[in-house]
Amino acid sequence: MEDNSREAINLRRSLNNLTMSGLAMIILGIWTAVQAVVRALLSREQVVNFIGFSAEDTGLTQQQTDDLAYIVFLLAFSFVFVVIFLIHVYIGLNAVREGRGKARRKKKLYLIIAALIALSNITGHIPVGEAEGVTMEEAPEEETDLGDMNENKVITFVMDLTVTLACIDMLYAAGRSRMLKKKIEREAEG
Amino acid sequence: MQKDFHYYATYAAAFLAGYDHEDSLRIAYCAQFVDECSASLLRKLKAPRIAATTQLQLELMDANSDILSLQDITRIWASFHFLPRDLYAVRGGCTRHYRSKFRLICGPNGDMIKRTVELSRNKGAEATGIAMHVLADTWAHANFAGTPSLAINNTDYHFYEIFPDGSEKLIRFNHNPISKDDLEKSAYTNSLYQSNENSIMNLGHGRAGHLPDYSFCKFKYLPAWGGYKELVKDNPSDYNHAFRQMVYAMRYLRGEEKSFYVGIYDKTAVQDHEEEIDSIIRKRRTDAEADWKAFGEKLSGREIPDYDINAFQQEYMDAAEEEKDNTVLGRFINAAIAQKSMVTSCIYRSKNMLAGYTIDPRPTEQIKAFLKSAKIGGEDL
Repeated sequence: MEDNSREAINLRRSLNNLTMSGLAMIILGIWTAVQAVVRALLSREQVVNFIGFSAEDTGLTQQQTDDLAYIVFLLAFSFVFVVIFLIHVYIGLNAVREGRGKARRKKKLYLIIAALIALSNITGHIPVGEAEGVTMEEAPEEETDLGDMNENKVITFVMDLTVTLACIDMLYAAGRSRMLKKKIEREAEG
Repeated sequence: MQKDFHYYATYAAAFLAGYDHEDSLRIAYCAQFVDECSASLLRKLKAPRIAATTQLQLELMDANSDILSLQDITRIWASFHFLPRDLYAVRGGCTRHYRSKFRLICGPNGDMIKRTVELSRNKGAEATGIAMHVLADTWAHANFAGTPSLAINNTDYHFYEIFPDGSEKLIRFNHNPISKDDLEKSAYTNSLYQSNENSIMNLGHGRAGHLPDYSFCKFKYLPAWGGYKELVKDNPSDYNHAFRQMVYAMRYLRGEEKSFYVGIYDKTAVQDHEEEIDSIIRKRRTDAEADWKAFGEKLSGREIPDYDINAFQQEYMDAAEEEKDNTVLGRFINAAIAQKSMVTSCIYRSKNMLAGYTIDPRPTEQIKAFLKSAKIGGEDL
C-alpha cells in the first residue's frame, strides 16, 4: 500500500524538484519578458540613434521618423521576447506535467532547450577579450535612462544565474526520475 | 472528529464503561462542548476567556501572526485537539525552531494522553468529557500539529483514497468552503495553500480537509514533515482503537482500573458489539450521527437528546459568583483551565516556546487568584 523504499522516496523527491524547476522557469520567463519590456520602454533615445533613420529616407519629419523607428523596433523586440517567454513557459509546463505524473509520454525537446538556455547563459557571461584597437579602459561607459549600468549588470547576472541553475536542476531531476522509474519498473517485473 | 463521535459515540463508550444514562449524557455533552467553547461564547457567559477550548473561524481570521497570537493559538489547539505525542522526539538535521514544531505533532498513546486521563480522575463528568475529546482526537488528528506551520502540516497533490478492495483513487481538493465533499468522485475541500509558514491555513489538518474526521476514510499522502515518505492514515482502524481506548479510560476514571496505561484497549465491554461498531465506523458517509445515536439508545434503552449548546448556559449565568464552580459549565471551565495549564506547562518544560511561558500548575486555585487580581486591575481575561 505505501511504498517507502529508497528508490520510491528518491523518485518523489526528484519529481518534486522537477515540478519546482518548471515553476521557476515559468516565473523567470515572466521576469525576462517584463525586464525586456521595461528596458525597451526606457531606451528610446538609444534605440532611435542605433537605427539611425533620417527624415530624408522616409519623407516624414524627423520626430515622426524617430517615432516610426521606435515603433518598428518595439514590434520586432516584442515578438522576439514573446517567443522567448513562450519557450520558458513550454519548458516549465512540460517539467511540471512530468513532475506531477501527467505527461502522456516522455518528452526530450524541452530538456534539450533547457540545456541550450543554460549553455547560452554560461557562455554569455564569459569575457571574450578586447575589441580590436580598444582596450577595456578606453571603452566608453554607456549611459542610458536605466541609470548605473554596473548595477544592471549585476542584476542581469544574478537572474541569468538563477535561470541556469533552474535549468541544470531540471535536467538533473528529469534524468534521475526517469532512471529511478525504470529501476522500479524492472524490480516490479523481476 | 465530529459531533457523531464526540457526542454520540462518547455516550455509547461511557455507557459501556459502566456509567449510567445521566452521567454518560453529561460526559458526552462535555466532550462535544470542547468543540464549542470559544472565547466569544465565554465572553457571552461572562466566564474566563482563558478557558477557551476552541477558536471559531472568525476568531482565527482575526488572529494575527505575531508571536503572542501564535502562542495563544497553539495553547488552545495543542491542549484540546492536537495533543502532542512526544515532546522530546528526536529530529536531526534541522533548526531548533523546526524541532519545536515537530515535537508538537499529535498522535495516540503518548505520555501526554496518560497525563490528560490521570488529571481528570475524581474531577467529575465534565473533566472526563474533556479527556475523552482529547483522547479521541489524538487518533483522528494524528500526524498533524496544533500550531500553524507550513513545514509540518502541509500536504500536496499526492493524496490518494484507499478503498476496502485495495484500489486507490487520486483525491481532488477544492478550496470552496461552502461546497460539500463529494464521496462518489473523491472530491473534497481543503484549506488554500499559503506559503506563509505561520498562516492559519496551515493549522492542524486544514490541508487535508475533513478527511481525518471521516471514520470510513483510509488514505495515503505525503506529510510535509515526512521527507517524501508516504503515510497511510487508516481511520477505520484508528476510530476502532479510539472507541476501545475511551471505554478503557473511562473504566479507569470510574475506579474499575487501578492505573491507566497507554496502548491498552477494552476487549470485554465492547466484545458483544464489535461488529456493529465496526460497521458504523466503516459506513461511507460524512455524518454518522444517526447510526451512533441509534447504537447508544439501543445500549441504554433511553433516548439521547440532540446536542444543545445552550443546555447549561442559563444555569451558569444565573448562578452567584461563589456558586458558579458548582454548575456544569463552571466545572467544565475549571477542568479546561487545568488541562490547558498542564499541557502548556509540559510544552514549556520541554524547552519549547511555541506555547509561550506558563505558570506552575496548581491550576485552579492559582489561576483563579490570578484572574481575580486581573479583574480588579481592570483586565478582562
